[in-house]
Amino acid sequence: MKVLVVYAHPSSNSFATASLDRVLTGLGAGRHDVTVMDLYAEYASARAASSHAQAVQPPTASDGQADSAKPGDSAGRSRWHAAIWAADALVFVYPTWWSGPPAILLGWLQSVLSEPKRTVGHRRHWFAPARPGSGPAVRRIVVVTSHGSSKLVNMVEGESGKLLFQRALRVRLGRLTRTRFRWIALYKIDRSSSAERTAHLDRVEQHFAAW
Amino acid sequence: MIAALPLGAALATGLLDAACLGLQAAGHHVRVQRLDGGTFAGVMSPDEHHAYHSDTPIISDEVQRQVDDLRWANELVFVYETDWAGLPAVMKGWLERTMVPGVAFVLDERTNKVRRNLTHIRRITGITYATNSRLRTRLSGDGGRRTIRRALRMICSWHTRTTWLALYAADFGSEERRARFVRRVERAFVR
Repeated sequence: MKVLVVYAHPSSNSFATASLDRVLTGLGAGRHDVTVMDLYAEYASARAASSHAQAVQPPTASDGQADSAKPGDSAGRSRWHAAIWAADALVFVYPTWWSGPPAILLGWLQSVLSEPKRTVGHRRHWFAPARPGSGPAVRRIVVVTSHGSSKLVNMVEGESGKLLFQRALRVRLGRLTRTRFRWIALYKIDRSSSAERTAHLDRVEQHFAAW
Repeated sequence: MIAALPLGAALATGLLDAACLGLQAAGHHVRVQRLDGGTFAGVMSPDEHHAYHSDTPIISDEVQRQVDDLRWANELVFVYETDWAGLPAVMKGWLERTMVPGVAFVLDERTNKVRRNLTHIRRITGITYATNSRLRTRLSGDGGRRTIRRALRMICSWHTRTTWLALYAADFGSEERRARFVRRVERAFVR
């Protein structure tokens, strides 16, 4: 199975990093074709490239791009676009901030998979994904995340991050009926004990080891 | 009041102008913060994330200006184009970078729980338009509406009211339909 793991956390010494390690351990060496995308690393290199370009030549319109929440140039975007459509499974590892994924991940999704603009007179079928060609749909979407607040508070707040992946992305990339979605989350992380965190990480590894 | 507008499209500009006119007509003082055009970095940098957990979470003038306006305002107005049935990334980044401990909320040292801190905000208004229909946006989660009306509302006062003005399937229908929505936005602030 081709697996694309998208990881977004600014610090390399975080719970999300530990989760990523366990995801990769669970997927196992050599069993799957795994690609890891570290969004903050991409962001840092894009910024470095843009500041280098600014030093050499006067700023252009595209320079704002590295600063905006939509990382990467158009070549990078089309590369990731192809990687998403080639993948059988997508795994997102991120901390939930403001009931959704970090802006860097949201911006990446919004720029790489921009919503198809519907024009007057053209109505797509409701659940038909706008896929290039007729390639196979993404079969699995898994989100590994952590929340500062409890499950109850998240439900009151609307769980918009979960719905983004469970509904919007699933309809966009796969088929609502066939693409499996799994949400592996640790709630109340600030108040959790180290046993709870370890149990969560074990759960993450177990899930991916079963693939 | 703070409006954060992430797109330079004609409808978006019309909505922002209408909101400003409506607010001024109602006798409010308006401050506009535009996040579009690369004027505001939408990504929380590693340094900022490090500072987030320290006692001085604000490390840039850019964010300090937003926080000053946030403390000054009694009402918040968000103007944006719905993308992926939710907030544009730069506006999500604005929430992450501006709503830091000490500004938006206070962490209770005893229980480690979040305590609300934006109790001076009396009303939150969202003005948005979406390409998709209302039903499709709702089924996709309508993340922007949920984040602002529910998550942001959680750290405001118990008495904070929210108003939501949205135009769905904005690319469809006549020019008159869009103009009607702009007029509705302008009238909404005259109370």
